[in-house]
Amino acid sequence: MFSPWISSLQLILIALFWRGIFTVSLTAGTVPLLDSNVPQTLSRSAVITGDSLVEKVEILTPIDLQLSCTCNANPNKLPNVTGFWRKDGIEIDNSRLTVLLEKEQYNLKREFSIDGDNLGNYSCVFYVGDKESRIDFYLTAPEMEGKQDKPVIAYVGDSVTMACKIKHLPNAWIWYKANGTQQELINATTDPLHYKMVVDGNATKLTLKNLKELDSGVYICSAVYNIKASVKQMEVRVISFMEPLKPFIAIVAEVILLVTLILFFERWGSKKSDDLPAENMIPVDQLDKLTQDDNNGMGESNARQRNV
Amino acid sequence: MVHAAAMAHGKKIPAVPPPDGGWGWMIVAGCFMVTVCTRAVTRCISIFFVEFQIHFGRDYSGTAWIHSLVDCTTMLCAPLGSFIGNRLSCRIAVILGGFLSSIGLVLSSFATSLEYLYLSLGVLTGVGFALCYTPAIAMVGSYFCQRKALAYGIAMSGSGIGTFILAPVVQLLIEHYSWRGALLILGGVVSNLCVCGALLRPIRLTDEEESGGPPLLDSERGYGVKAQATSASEDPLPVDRKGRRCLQSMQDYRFLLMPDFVMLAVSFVFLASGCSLPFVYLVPYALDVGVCPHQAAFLMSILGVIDIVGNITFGWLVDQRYLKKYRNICYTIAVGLEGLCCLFIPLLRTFTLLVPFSVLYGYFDGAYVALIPVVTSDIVGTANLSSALGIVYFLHAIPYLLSPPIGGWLVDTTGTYTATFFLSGFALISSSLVISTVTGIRHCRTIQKHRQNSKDTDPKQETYQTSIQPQVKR
Repeated sequence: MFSPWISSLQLILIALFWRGIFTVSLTAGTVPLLDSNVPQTLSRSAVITGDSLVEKVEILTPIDLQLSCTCNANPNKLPNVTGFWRKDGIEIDNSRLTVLLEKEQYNLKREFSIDGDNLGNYSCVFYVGDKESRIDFYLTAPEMEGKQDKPVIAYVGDSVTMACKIKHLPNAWIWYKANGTQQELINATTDPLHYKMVVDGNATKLTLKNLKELDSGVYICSAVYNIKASVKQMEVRVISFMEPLKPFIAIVAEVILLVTLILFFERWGSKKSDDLPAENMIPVDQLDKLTQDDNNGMGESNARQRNV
Repeated sequence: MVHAAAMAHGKKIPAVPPPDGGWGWMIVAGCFMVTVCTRAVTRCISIFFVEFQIHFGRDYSGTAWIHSLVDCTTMLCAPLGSFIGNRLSCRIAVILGGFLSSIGLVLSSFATSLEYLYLSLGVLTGVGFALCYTPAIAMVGSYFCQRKALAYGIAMSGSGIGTFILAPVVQLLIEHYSWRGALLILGGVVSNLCVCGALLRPIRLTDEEESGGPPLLDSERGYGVKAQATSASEDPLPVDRKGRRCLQSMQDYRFLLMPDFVMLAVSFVFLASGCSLPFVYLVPYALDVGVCPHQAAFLMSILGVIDIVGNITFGWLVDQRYLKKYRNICYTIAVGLEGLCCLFIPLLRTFTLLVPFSVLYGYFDGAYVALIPVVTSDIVGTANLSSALGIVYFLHAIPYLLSPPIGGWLVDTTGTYTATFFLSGFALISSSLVISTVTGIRHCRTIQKHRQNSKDTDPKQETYQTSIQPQVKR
């Protein structure tokens, strides 16, 4: 529920600290100087696993990235602590350093050469005494907006539209259909009767027309960047119109049955009461609020007046 | 209204006083289902909008028209519904309406364009709903007298409870069958209106035996009194059926000339202008002042649930002996307090402050909705209730349609929501002022007349008057 707020908060932090990346993506090759000053106070940590902070970084193109971490000294103020880097949980060789205390802070910096193969989770870890404090940098290609975990239902002979949207302009949009483990490229120009693809900058739409049962399956839209392609999967299920028709017919049958029953019950009930003496005179007990009048004939005209 | 049905069937249905129970509760259940199938389904149509937008490639405003069309058509054609209810029978009107609306929904499931949806979903289904809504509500009024407000409260709570239940059900249907299948199945659900129609057993009330004479409203006795000067006619059908029908329809709409009804109608126009705005603009206002989205949605849920509570409890409350005489005053107070709540909005800028607003506004909204048919029947009498309700809901249509866009325009030009909520508050307060003015004038006249009469009447007339007094407490 709150997770969209947390990740957007993180992205705001990224935007503040890593504006360099986005300018760098247009002019590949330059080395940005990046600082991630994240104050951490060990005294605050009540968590036994140690303090940790997660930062998400979206990378569009291969760059040389410098990550730096800062940790505020605890009251103990050890003159030096051990710091090292991890990638995807595994310690990077030769990255272990002794970090000296500078102005009440411990600083750790390292430069990484990032391309499509080595995206992942980079962490800088401080070992203060026994405790571990770490900052995680999630380096990824941009992620698509929206999630489609439920299949899109469509009917035979109908059409269905799938949309993909992403934050940063990709080089190209490509659609695939998953065929077992393989992916088939969808070419809208060779098959215009069946497919229609519309690209609108950050968004794309694929329309499948004249659906058949074998059009069911997983469709993948991919936004191509220099570094990697970002994908989103959507499942399409094509069903025949018989499926919703069954509950519909069941409900209509129930309605007809109930109506017949009610009308029949009413007619049967009124036939029974027809056998009893007709009561088109106002019953005397209606006059219980008003003064009683024993004479039936008089009672009728009085009641008429009293009913006003 | 119902005597026409009795004549049409050629049967002699025994004339009875309002049962206040018995089959009346089945009528209430039927009316509850009618409210669920009409008002709740109308609100749930907005769940389909996202699907329509994706499928037809249109934006929000194109799809929002569908909801406005359904709402507007339902209200605009309410007089048609009451007319058919009067002419043929409430039962036939509701069954016909159920048939039309379910056909509308079924046809919508085959839609190929948004314009097609405007016609099938907006117009056809809307007309179907209109044919059901008014006759069903009018029928409840015939069956109840002592517990009228409670019966109406239960019947009208259908829209709140129905929305509560139908919204997740519709969402589930869309997930499993896509919007086409969901519309088809919804058409099946709506065809249950025919079952509700079958439940509306015609009743012939003792008041209506005197159908030949014009209804003379003795305005000096306050609301709820219809003095029938003519004696009863135990009627064989007259030769000229057409002429009789013409006369009947003129009589049916005679209440339009009543000054009481005209003032009530004016107050309803103000009411309809003000009441829908907070529902539309509460969530945007809450988001604007910094409430987070799920809390803003929670405000709307509170509003919906308390609405239901208000319907039933206020109806029960107003039926109690000590409050029955003051029904109109209770209605006036409910509407006035609702308007007052809206005026406080600019001061409520946090979630904790907006919750009481939701609670109060929801309660009074439920309260007055349950009392509209009661107040109307108090003025025009039970026989004309169907036609009167048709006119009342007709008057709701245009303000319902126009006030949200006007509110939106106010928000755009002033930049804040204050003006919109002030408009709503003032409209509601003016509505209650109109009614209280009329009540006040009537009360003064009654006191004057009684003073005059007590000066120069002889004892015989006095006893006549006092013996009639108890009936006024209906």
